[in-house]
Amino acid sequence: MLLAVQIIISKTMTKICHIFKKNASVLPGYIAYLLNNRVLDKVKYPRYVIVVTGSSGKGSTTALIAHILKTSGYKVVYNESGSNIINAITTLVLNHCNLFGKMTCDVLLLEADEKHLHLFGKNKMTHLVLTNITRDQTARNGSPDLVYDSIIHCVDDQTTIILNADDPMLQKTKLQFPGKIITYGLAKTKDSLQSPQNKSIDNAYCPNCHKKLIYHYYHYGHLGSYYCRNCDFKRGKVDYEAQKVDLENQTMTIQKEEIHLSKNILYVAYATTAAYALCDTIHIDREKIKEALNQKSLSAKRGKEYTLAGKKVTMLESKNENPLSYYQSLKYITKEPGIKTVILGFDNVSRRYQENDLSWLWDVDFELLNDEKIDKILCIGRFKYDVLTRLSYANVPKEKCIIVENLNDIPAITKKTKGNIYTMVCFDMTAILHKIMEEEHGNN
Amino acid sequence: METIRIAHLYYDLLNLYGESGNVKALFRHLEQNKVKVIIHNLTVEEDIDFSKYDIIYMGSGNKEAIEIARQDLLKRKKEIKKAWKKGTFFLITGNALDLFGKTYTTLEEEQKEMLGFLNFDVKEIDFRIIGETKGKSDMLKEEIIGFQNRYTIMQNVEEPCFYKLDEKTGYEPNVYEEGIKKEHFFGTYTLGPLFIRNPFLTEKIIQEILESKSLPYYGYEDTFAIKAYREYMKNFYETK
Repeated sequence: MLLAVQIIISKTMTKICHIFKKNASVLPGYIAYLLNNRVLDKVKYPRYVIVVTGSSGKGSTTALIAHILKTSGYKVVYNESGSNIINAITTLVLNHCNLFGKMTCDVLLLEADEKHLHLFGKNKMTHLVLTNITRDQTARNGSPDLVYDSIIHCVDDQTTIILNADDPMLQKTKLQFPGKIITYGLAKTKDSLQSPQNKSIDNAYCPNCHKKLIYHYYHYGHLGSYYCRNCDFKRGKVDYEAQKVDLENQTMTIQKEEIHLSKNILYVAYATTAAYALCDTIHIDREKIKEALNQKSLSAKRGKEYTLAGKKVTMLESKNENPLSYYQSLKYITKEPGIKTVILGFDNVSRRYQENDLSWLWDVDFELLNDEKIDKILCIGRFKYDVLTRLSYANVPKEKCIIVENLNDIPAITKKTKGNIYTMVCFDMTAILHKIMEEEHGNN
Repeated sequence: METIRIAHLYYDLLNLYGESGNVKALFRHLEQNKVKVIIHNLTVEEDIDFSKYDIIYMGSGNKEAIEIARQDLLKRKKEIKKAWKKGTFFLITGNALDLFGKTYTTLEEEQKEMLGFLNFDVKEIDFRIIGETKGKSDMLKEEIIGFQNRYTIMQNVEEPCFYKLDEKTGYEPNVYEEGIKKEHFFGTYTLGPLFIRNPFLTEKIIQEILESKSLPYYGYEDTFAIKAYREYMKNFYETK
C-alpha cells in the first residue's frame, strides 16, 4: 500500500515540477525515499536490471547500450539526463511502475554514481558494467581503491560483471568475485604508448602481490596490457577485444565485425566495446548490435556544438578532478585539424561540495596544449591564475595565454583569436558560456 | 655551476594528489637561482644511493601504497638515517609524513613499526579529515594555503609544528598545530602542489637549502603563481 502511495506521490510531484519548469529528476525520489528508504527493495523489476558505473565513460556507455536495446525492440527505461544519484534513480524507477509496483519495461538501465551504488541495494542488478576506476573527485571519493571497494561490496554472486580488463584495478575482481565475469578491452593500437603519458598513474602495482606491474603497452592512464612478473596476475585474453582501432577513420572490429566509432577518441572505443559486450551477453542478435552501432546519426554524449564570434564552438564537458577525462578532451582537441582557440577554467572545483582541491590540475597533461596549432588559450573563472600557472609549467608560451577578467569580454576576445573554439570548462562555466552565446545570437 | 640533486622517492606510488607539481616547483625555483638541478624518480626495490641527494621529496598515497613504501623504507633505514644526519633536506607532503613517526596503529589495533626519525605516533581513524587549510608558520610572514584529505591522526607529538592552522584539523581533532618542521625536515599533511600554491614558502625553503650549501640566493620570479596565491586569498578569505 505504501509503495502505491509513493508511486503516486512521485508521479504527481514530477508533473508539478514540470508545470513549474523545475528539475523533476531528484525531488520526487527524495520525497519517496523520505517516506521509506527501502522503497527500491519493494519494486518488481524487469528481467534485466543493468547498471553502468566507473570513474568516467559511464554516460557514453549507458547511452550506447540504450541505443542498441531500443533499436533491437526492447522497452528501456534509463536515466538519459545523466542524473545518477539515488534520489534521481528512485524517481526514475517509481515513475515507470504501475500501482502494483511492477516496472513497465523490459530493461531498467542505470548510469549509477559509483559512490551511490550501495543505496540501490543488493539483489537487483542482473548485470554490472564497470568502465574504469581512476582518481576522481578525491575530496569526495578518497583514493581509487576506496571507490572500487564501495562498488564491489554492492554486488552479489547473481550479478554478471562486465569489466574493462585493461584496468588492473577492475581486473582484480577476478581474484575475489565468485560470480560470472565477462571482460572487454582494446588491443594494441598504432597510438598505444610504451610508457605512460605521465608518471602519476593509478594502480601501478599488482593488486595481488604488490610488485610493480609490467606493461606491454598503455592506451592512456593505467589502461593497457599488463602483467605481474611475480605472480600470475595479468590482463591476459579478454572475452571482447576491440581490434584494429582506427581513430582517424573512426572504425574498429569486435568479433571480426567492423564497428563505427561515433567520435575519434579512445574513450568512445571503450564505451562501444563495453556496450557490445553487454548486449552480446544478454543475447541481442549480433547483426542488430552492429547495425545499431553503425548508424551514422549516433553521437557521443559529450561535445555539443555551438557558435561564438562566427566560429564553431565545441564544448567538451571535462570533469574537474578527473585527470583522465581531461586527458581525453585534450587529446581530442590536439587531434582536431586546423588552428584552434581553447577556453579553460572554472569558478568552483565541484558542484557537490564547497572544498576546492586544486591538486588534480597537476595530474592533467596540459603539456598537450603546448601545440603550434593552438592560437590562444583563454583562462577564465576564479581559478584562472592557477590554470595559467599550470600552463606556464606545461611550457605553453605566455603570449598564447589570455586572462579573462570579465566573461562578457569573451565574444570580443574570440573575434580576434584564430580557429574554431574548444571549451574545456566545468558545469558552472558551461552555463555561463551558453548564456553568452545565446545573447550573442539574440543580438545578431 | 653548482648541482643540486633531488630524489623524488616513490614517484609511482606516492603521487595521489598532483605531487609532481612540487618537484616542478623546486626545479624552477632552484634553476632561477643559477643552480643545475638533477631529478631522479626512484621507487621500491631500486638501488638508491641516498648519500648523493640534497633533497628527498615524497608525496601522498593510498593505504596500500603507504604500506608498500613503509616496507621498502624499513629495509633502507640505515642509509636514510645517514642522509638524515648528513643534512639532506626532507620535503614531505601529505600522508608520507606518517612514515617518519615511531608507530602506526591500524583500525584493527595492529601496531606497525615506522622509520622512527621523529617523535610522534600515528593512528588510523575510521573517518576522513578533508578540507582546505590556511595557517601561519614561524618560517615566513605570508600564510600557507592548501588542502588535506587523510585518514590518520598524529599523537604524542614532541616536535615543532610546520604551521598552525586557523581552523580545521591539525595533528588530531581540536588541535591546530599541523606538520613538523625540524632542522632539515619539512613535513606537512597538506597535500598536492604545496610548493606551487605557496611560492613564498618555497622561496623560504630554497633559501635554506642554498644557505646550507653556502650558495647565494638570487631571488625568484613567478608572477603567475604569486597572482594565483593572492587571488585565492582575496576570493576565499578577504571577501568573507
